[in-house]
Amino acid sequence: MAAETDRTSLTSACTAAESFTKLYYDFLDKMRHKLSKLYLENGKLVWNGNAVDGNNNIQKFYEDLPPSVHILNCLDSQPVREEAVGKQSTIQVTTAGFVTLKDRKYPFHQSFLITAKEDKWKVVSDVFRFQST
Amino acid sequence: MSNNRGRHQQPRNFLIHAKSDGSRHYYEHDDRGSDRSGGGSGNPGGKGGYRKFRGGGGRGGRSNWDDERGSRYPDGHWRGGGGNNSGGSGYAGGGRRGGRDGSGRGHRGPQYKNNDVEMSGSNKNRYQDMYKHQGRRRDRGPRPPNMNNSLGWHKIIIREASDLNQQEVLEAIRELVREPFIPILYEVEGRSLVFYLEDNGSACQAITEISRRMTMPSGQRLSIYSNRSPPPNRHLTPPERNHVTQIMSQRYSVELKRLDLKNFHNDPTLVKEGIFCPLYRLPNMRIIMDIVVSNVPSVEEIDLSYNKLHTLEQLDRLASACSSLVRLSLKKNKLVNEMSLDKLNGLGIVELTLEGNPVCDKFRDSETYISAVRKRCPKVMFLDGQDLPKPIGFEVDDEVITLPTSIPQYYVQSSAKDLISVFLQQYYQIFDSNNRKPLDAAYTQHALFSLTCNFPETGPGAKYTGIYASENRNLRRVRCSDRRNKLMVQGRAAIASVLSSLPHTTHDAASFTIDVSVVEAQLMVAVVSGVFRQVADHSPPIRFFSRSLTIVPEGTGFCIANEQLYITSATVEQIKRAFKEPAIAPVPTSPTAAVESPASDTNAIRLKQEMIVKFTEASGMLPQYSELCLEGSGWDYQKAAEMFTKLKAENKIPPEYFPQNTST
Repeated sequence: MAAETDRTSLTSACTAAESFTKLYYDFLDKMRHKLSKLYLENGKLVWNGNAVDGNNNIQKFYEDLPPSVHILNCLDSQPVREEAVGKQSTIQVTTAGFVTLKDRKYPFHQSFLITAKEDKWKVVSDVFRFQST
Repeated sequence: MSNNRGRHQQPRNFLIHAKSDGSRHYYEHDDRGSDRSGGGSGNPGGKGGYRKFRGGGGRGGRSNWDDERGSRYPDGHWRGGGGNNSGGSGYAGGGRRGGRDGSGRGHRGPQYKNNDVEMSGSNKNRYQDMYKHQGRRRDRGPRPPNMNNSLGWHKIIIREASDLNQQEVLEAIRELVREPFIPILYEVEGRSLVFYLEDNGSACQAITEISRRMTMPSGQRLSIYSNRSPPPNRHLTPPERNHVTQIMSQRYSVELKRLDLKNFHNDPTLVKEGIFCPLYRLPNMRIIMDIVVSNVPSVEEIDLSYNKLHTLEQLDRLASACSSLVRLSLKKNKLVNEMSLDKLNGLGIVELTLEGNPVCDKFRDSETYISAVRKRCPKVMFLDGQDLPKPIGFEVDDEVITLPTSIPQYYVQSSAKDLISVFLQQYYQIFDSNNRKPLDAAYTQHALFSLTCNFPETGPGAKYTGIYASENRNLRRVRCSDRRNKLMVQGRAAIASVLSSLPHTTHDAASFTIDVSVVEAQLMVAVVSGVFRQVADHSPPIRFFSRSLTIVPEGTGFCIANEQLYITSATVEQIKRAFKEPAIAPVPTSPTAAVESPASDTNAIRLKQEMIVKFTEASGMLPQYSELCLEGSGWDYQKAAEMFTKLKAENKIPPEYFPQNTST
């Protein structure tokens, strides 16, 4: 049976999540053409139940959305347990806040599964939802 | 005074009768005031006055000035002048009358008999003039003597006829009068029968001429009088409103998505029913638009021609409510002001008809007209039946960015659906029960759990939040690394105990959204969100949750390895929709048939417990009585539910079986 999660990986999960979200929402609001770099090549986005596969398609999907401004209120991060991912460093990050799209402000929450590929964090799965649809 | 002259000239003019009814005369529907215009003849010896003013243009001739105005305002709308014009309108009005008649002596004299009183009137006179001469300027030939008075409203009064059969009287009149007419609001008023005529002076005259000549079967001779009148003003009663709705539905073509409201107040059925619903009265327009918005929001074409609209008030509502509206006819109304078109702002009209409105003649040329229209409705391509050149814009103008529609559930593999729904069903059965300890079986030995929350600082949503705040691991607030680590709950026992410390809840399964984005041999990633009611002593708040789960297979079932729970207050919309699903719904699969249940030795007892919990929740009864009911039906949930529903319908369940202080 796998051991308890140690403090180091808890801390590094937090640091990674903080840097990731800063970068991610900056790209999403201002530089969507760079978004694909943050996803795994076969990464997956589920946007309010609509699935998009592949980093290039995800970037295209976001580029087609109206301009956005995200305001983050909540952030949390956990290292994903070994029983799920083995020795592959992976974190689960959740965010919540408000996004303004097309002059309308929506409360949203988003959940990422991010894994280390070589020495870069890449998004495996990105689930986004408005709080009420 | 001129009225004397007029009376001599036109001894048979029906307006003579007006004298006996008082002094007031009204023209058209003018909501702005009922004061009658003094007109030119207010000037004693008006003829001379105008002649002086007009430089002797005089008798029989139309002056150039008059002609020019006539051509600019072909329908006789004289509003064009500013305030300084109003002072002179007395003269101008007199002049016009003189010029037109060729006699210079107004046969309309009687109408002005009260001028010395009313001349003190104001700018309103201008409007009265405007309406008086409605539609007359183009017609230069000799005209029948009563033509001056053919427009506007007349009230016909049949004296001492209240006892007679209304229809018989009407038929008798129709027999004697050749002119067609539509009696509006035909009804008993005091001892008389009255009705209104609109823009039908000739019929009015013909009807009054048969006064004292019409004999009813009883031998009674009827005296009929007529009055100038303001348009009748009635509010629609609810039954009338229903009737109007019916008429509108008859006038709606489903195939063409076209609503025909042309000349609505003269709708034969409405007239027959005695309902007077002119659209130029704002309350009526409001009702009509209410009906349109709530019944035919997908309407594509509305015909509002011939309704005497002087404002487009209320039409602006269509911009948001009827986005498919592309054709609108406002032909032959009384829109005067360019500003009145502002109400068309935001309508996606492609085909617009405005012709026959005074405003159309106010523009310098057709370009200014078109640009004034396009300023309000940029999409107009056909105006008054003419193709317009396509405006040159930018490509992005046509781009309508719509957000993809939301889909409540997503499963990367459909096989995950049953698995996750059974898992969640079981999880929430226990979670919403009084005892959450059994939930430990749903987590792996060293599972991780953390909670984040965000609540408003004031308002009902801020109540009872302290309990969550102490567990809140929001990394944006908790900066200290030690504190962060402390708030990470590790191990199934610790998790179960934290979950047990959270307030009691009831989740609304109908509100759940589920996204399963990853399904692999060793892990599954699921995000579940929805609303729940936090069971507090008073007015339990509705909250929103989202759980991000990493699920791994363990033994025969599945367990949670990572969980992040986010809690916030529900939006107004969510609160409105929460818990609207029926309370008693038969469970699709009996819990015993569940494929993967969290491993447990005391499975049978747990299942019974779950059933009790579920039944308690569904029935609203206290747990001990739910148990009783389930036991009585041999632990068959379906059977117990049926029994409960039957007994409840027959009112055989004692009230003490239900919690007494429940707020639901």
